[in-house]
Amino acid sequence: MIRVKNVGLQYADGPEVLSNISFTLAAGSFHFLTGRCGAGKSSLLRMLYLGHRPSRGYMEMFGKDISQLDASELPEIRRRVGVVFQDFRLVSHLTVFENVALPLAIEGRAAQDYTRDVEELLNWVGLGDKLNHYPELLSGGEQQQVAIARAVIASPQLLLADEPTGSVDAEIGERLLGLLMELNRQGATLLIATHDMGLLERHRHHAGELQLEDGGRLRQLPPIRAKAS
Amino acid sequence: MIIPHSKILPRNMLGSRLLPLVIAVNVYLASLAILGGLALIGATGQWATEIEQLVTVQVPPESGVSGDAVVKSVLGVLRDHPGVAQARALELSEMEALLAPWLGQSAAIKELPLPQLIDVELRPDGDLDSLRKRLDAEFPGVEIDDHRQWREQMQSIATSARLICWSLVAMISLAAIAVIIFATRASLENQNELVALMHLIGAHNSFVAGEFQKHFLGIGVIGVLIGLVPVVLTIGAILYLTGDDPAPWMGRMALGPVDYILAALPPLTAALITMLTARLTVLRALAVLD
Repeated sequence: MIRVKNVGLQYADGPEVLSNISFTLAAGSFHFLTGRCGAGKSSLLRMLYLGHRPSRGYMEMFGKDISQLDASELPEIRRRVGVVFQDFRLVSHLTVFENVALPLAIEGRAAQDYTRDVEELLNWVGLGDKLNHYPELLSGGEQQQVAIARAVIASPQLLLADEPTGSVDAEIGERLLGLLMELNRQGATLLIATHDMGLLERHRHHAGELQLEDGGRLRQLPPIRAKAS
Repeated sequence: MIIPHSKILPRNMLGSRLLPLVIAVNVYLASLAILGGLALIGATGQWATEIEQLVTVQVPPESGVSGDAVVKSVLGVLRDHPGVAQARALELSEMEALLAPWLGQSAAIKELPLPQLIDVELRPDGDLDSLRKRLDAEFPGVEIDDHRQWREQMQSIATSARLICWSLVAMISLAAIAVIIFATRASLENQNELVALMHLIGAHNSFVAGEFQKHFLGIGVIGVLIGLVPVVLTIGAILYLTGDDPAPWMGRMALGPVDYILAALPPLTAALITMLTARLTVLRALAVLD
């Protein structure tokens, strides 16, 4: 579903922040993206949500060669990708409901068609009583939940999350992760960038790892299957 | 009336409060320019039409010893002609009054060999050429002044008024468009994070432009509604002044239904121009970013 081969990424005329990276994300797979601060995790995610196209190399998403796509074709690819940004990027003048419904409004769907879906999702994440609240009135964890709800509302095929449990306590973190994993079980490919080694260890048996190393290189590790006792 | 607005962009974006006032002022100025221009064009047109139906026949003093007889004969020919509505020889006192601005009230005027002037009013379809030919044939030396010079001047004034009127409207429109482009670019810059987010979530440029279009259409509608107030008051004042018993000069300035429709063009089109300008500005800016 996602094939990346010998890809390099640089911003303007700067040095390459990702260099000759190659990996494959099979449909429905679950991976963690790890690496030191500044190793390029956010840049790799940005490349995958098409915030920045590769400077060189081959990147295929959903069967399409990204370098060959016209700018007008990118929105269709982006709609198949849900993103939980590290800084949430909630729209401050829109309510919780409107923030979550944004991807559906952008798809051109009529409000009456998605109102129930949005309300159900927000009820499920525990924000059913805050539909009309504005983001600034929510706690960090609640904002994170809204960001996740917005990322998943349009049932994306690829779900990218940048430190999705970084600003919440362990209990809420597990709950949010459970939400992402539920979508993974329903068929979405899941890639989570994290520093949380505990989180990684707890799920390492069923999640692969993309390990970014110094110099912008990347190693792809499969899930570590538990040995039979 | 429901003012259109974007459901994604903030209502209080940069310039959202002042831009309606700018549009209102431009709407009023453009309507005023059209009303003024049309009134001037109408007045000159009416003057030209009046002059077109009036000619002056000059019977020179050397036409013969019995000048009065010649004048009577000329009047007879004029009154018989099918194109003439009426003809009247000017009294000596009237001719003195015409010359007074140049010669004063001197008694010597009576001694001057003045031509006898005959005012002729033609019928609307009166044939001046056949009248001229007949007078030339029967009374050599008798001249017809058809006021061509005055008519040409009127025509020239009307053409200039039309040109000035539409130039003013064009300049006012361009000024408004420039302000709208500036406001749209400023709003786009101000909302660049939201625009980037919309793109990352899968918005096409046309969707983003559509949101700005809705926002600025709302601003345009508010501007038009504000601008309509002085436009309506001005039209009301003109209707009152040119009503039942207007002053002669004001009567000439009276406007017709078509004129009022033309004067309504700026309010009718301002919101549309605002919307389209915003859409094109956003599409152009986003195309550069792509």
